[in-house]
Order: sequence, then C-alpha cells, then structure tokens
Amino acid sequence: MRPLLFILLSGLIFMACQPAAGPHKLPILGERDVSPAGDTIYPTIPNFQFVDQDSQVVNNATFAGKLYIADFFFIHCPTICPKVKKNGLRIYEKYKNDDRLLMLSHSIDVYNDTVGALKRHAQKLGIEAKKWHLVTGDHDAIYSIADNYFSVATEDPDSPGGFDHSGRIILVDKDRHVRAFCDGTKAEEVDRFMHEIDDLLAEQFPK
Amino acid sequence: MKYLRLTFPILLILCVLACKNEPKTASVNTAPPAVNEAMSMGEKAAYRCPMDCEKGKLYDQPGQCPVCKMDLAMATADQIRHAASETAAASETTALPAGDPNKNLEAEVNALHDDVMKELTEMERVGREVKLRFKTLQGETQRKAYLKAIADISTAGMDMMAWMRDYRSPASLPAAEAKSYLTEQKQKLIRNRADIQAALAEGRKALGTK
Repeated sequence: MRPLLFILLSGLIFMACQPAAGPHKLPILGERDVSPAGDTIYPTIPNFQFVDQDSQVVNNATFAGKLYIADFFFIHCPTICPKVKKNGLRIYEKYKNDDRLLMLSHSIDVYNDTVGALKRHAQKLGIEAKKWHLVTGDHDAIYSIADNYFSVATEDPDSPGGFDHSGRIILVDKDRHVRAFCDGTKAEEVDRFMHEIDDLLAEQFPK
Repeated sequence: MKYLRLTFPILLILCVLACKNEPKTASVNTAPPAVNEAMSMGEKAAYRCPMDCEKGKLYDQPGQCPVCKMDLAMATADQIRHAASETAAASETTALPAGDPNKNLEAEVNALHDDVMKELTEMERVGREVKLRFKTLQGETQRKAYLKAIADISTAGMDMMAWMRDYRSPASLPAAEAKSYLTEQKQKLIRNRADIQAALAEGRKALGTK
C-alpha cells in the first residue's frame, strides 16, 4: 500500500507544480461594438497602402497571416525616436529569423523622409526591408492610420493629441486586431512587450 | 519499509525544490555578476549579451544574459568604450557634460520640441477634417476660409519638419557658440509653435468648433 500511496502523492505534487495552462492570452484592445446579429465586433486596422525603403508597395497583404509591430517615427527626430529606434533594433535582432513577425515603421515626415532617405536610414541601421519596412506615403493617409492605431493603443482615450509622437510600439495580430503596446522609449517596457509578442506567437501559431 | 519512510520526505522536498526552479528565477542565478563601472574594466576581458539586451551592460565573466538567455559574448574594446559613454549619458538626451549651463538650455529646446509635436498632431487632425469638409462646400467665402486654413496648416507642418531636419545637438561646439545656437533654435521653435497654434485656430474656426 505504502509505495502506491507514495507514487500517487508525488504525482499529485508534481502536477500542482506545473505552471498555469499555456501562455498568457492577450486581450483584443479597443472599444468593441455589437452587430445587429449580436456578434461582438472588435476594432480592426483598416486597409492601407504605403511604399517602403526598397520602393516596394506595403499594404495589408504584406502582413497577411503574420503578426506585426507598428510605430511612427521620422529620421530627423531629435528626442524620442532615437530611443525607440534603439529598442526597435533589439526587437529586430530577437525576431530577425522568425518569419511569423514583421515590423512596420511609418515616417510622419513625408517631406524629408523620401524613399531614398529611408533607404539610407535602413542601411545605417543595418536592417533588411523584407523584415522591417520603413514606409512613406500620402501625408494624410499616414496621420490618419496613426489615429487608427493609437485610438486603440492608449491608456487614456481622452488625452489630447501627440499620439503620432508618443514613441509607442503596437502589436497587431493576424486578424488586424491590436493586442498589446508599449512605450518604445523605455527598455524595460520593451522587455515586457517582447514577452507579449512571444505569448501572441504561441497563441496564433499553435504547434 | 524503513528506507521508504526516509525516501518519501526526501523525494517530496526534491519535488518541491524542482518546482521552484522556474526559468525566470533560474536565469538570475546563472547570470554572472555585472561590472558596474565599465571604466574600471581596464584591460580585463568583458562579456556582454550579443543582443545588447541590457543596453551596454558588461559582465566580468562568461554566462547567460538574464533577459534573452543567450550566451554572453566577449566584448570588443569599442563596445567597452561605448558602454562607458552609455552609462554617462544614460538618463540624459543630451551629450553635454554635467554642470554645463547649456545642458539646461538644450533640455528646454527638447521639451519645447515635444510640446510642439503634440500640437502639431492635433493640427494635423483638424487639417484632415478641414480637407474632408472642404470637398462638400458650396459658398465662395467659406471655401476661401477653408483654403487659407489648409494652406497655413500645411506650411506650419512643413516648417516644423524643416526645423527638425536642420537641428543638430550642439554638443561638439564650443560653449559660447553652443549657447547662441541653442538660443536661436529656441526662438525658431517658439515661432514655429505660434504658427502651428494660429493655423490650428484657423482650422477650428473654419470647422466652427471653438
């Protein structure tokens, strides 16, 4: 009897020690709506079309079936962007060889950040266009899509302007839903954010 | 039976111990002690995470990065020097030496820039609405007011972007030159800000809000 009890008990203890089932599931961010049929509708990132540092068209199809992180920057930004860029490079290095995640940085300075300027910037950073798209496009289209990303990715929806220059990095899932964001100027927030990327990868690409 | 009585509690303890060994806590133990003062490294070998997870942090022995768990790599002389300058400039956006009176002035310019960027974002938002509404307008006087707002918003935005393109941190300039440069830049920024606020007001007036 004793050995049996012993095996049973140790088995139970072992099971109790296992971490909670699966990775943490990230919420879908933003104000949800209910359709006439009673289905919950989550806000999604609308259609877009921009051009990247290699003069390639970048649109929703570029990110089909993948996760991506999005942010807004401009090359000559003297304060926030250099910090975000540095943390962005950390994310780039970590997921460089992981095809399930892409990166998208929009320039909000369409006057100066031409395709050529973006190309030089990318070369300076040592990044590959197929992984990290630096895009430019129609001025209003860029500012307008920034509103779309940031109206969801904010702690305080009533806070005035400045979203385009917040240094925020946003995580978008396969279904165009915003799932997480962080302050790209803070290294420790980006550490946390990378764990969230891992969680979302595990959720959307089950083995 | 006697042995069993003894092994049971031992196994239990082992089991609990094994459970506590989660990756997060484990990594803290495997990370080697950090080198706090990069400068004190001298000619000794230093190790750092190949992904630079901890922003230039150096260790004096090989091990694992506590953040990404990669094996630490031997740091090059350049990286050691870089880590030293990194520590010096860690909390500041400016590279000017501490105690430099220009440091405050540069911080002021940076703070002003951040404020203006917030106003610029708001101006852009109003600008988009003005352009959208413009397409539906009929009356000539109304169209004129809208066109003026659109033009001023566009100019104010371009001027601000031009300022940022041309601005350089004057860290390498002699103190006197740096001071006059920063003072001049501050004045320019204040003018840009006034233009943005005026264009924003015009846009809002055209839309009939505020």
